[in-house]
Amino acid sequence: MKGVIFTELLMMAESALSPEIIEEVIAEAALPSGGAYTSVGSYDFSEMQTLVAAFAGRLKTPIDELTRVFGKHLFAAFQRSHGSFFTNIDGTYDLLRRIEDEIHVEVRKLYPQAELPTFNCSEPILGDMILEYRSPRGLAHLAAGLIEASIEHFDESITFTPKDLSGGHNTHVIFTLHRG
Amino acid sequence: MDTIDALRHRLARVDRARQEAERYAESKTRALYEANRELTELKEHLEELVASRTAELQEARDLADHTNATKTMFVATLSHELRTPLNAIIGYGEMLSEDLTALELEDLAHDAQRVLGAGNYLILLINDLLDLEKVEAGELGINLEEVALDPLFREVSEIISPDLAANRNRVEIEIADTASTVITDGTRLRQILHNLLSNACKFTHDGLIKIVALAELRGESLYLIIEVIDTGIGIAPEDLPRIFARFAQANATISRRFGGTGLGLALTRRLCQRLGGDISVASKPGVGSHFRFWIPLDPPLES
Repeated sequence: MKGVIFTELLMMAESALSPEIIEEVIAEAALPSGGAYTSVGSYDFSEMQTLVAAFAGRLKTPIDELTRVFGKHLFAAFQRSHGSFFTNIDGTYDLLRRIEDEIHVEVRKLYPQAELPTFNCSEPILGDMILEYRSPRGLAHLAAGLIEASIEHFDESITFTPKDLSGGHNTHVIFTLHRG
Repeated sequence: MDTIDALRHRLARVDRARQEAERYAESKTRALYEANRELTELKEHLEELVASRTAELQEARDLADHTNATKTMFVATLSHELRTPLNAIIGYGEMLSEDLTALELEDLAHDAQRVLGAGNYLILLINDLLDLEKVEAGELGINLEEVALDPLFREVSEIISPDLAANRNRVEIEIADTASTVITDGTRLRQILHNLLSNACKFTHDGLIKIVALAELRGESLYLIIEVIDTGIGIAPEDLPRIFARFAQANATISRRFGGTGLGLALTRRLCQRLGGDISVASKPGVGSHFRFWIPLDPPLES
């Protein structure tokens, strides 16, 4: 997993927890990398799972909820670091439609080794759109946070409901978006 | 973990991250340097390749130019050399034909007429060929003058009147007021019209040949448009694309049946282009053909 996800996770943690607790969490986790992350490096996904679980424990927040909040945080971070992806985009539906055909194409050019989730979109019909999320990492809550942040960013009145088709593993989830 | 320990721990972590980032930056810098070196080599190789190909092409072009110039000179010289004895053949053929007719030797007079006909055909062919070579060699001069279209059209119609009568065709002339007098090369315009009218007459029987002239504004330039429309046998769609190429009569049967050198339309097109315009054709078998050529009038072509 790309290092930028880890550095952003630590940045988000900094805003809610003290440096002492963060360093304690990292030390206790006994991570192979020792928590020495750079945004350009790549690290094992299990480190992410360990850290999220540990931070969720310290914050007394469910892991899924913390993952969703992290999705919202990542949206803002992507906007800062990859602003060009967000120009000339006409709302959340447009953004979601472009993930596979444009954004991921560019990401693969920058990081050929990146393992990306897939986002298949239906054409919007009468204000509704179906989004299919698939990833062996089971980060559907992170995807939900990203969608939520996008709706807020474009100031739209869109609601959505997720339906997990992978028996609670969050690896295959259908999001039904509805424009009110 | 107290604050001091936490900060020490963080310092160590950040330090390792920095070292990792430095190693990463160093490896990417080397990779970029290598890629840049390979690109430079590739660019140099490509430049050499382009230079060598350009030289080859220049050589081929020079050779083609030289061959073309030699061919033009050859055709021109040969045509001149052919014309002199041919004129003698035609002259003596005419005398012979008249003498034999006077002696009432009709069979022999008929044979002499055939010699004369073949000689006249060869002169036409050579004249067309010479003109074509001149246009292609850029040696065909243009003399601009004021040309009144109505007399010119009537004069050409008069010249081909025997052909018109033979195939029982009628000619209609229609000239717009805006195109009654134009500034162009009258001789070449006459030649173009003669070729088109001869063709129309050859391929039309008991029909109508219409000549239309008008002035038309295209963009910011004024053009003289002349159309020759016949109700003849027409041209098959598959023959249309090569109709203006040399020796491109629609097929060999047509050549035998209707005669002609196969150079007329090629020359006509070159003449239209030499006058700064071009020619197009639309046709439907069994319905007729519609030739349309245009030459710029404003500003007129330089002499």
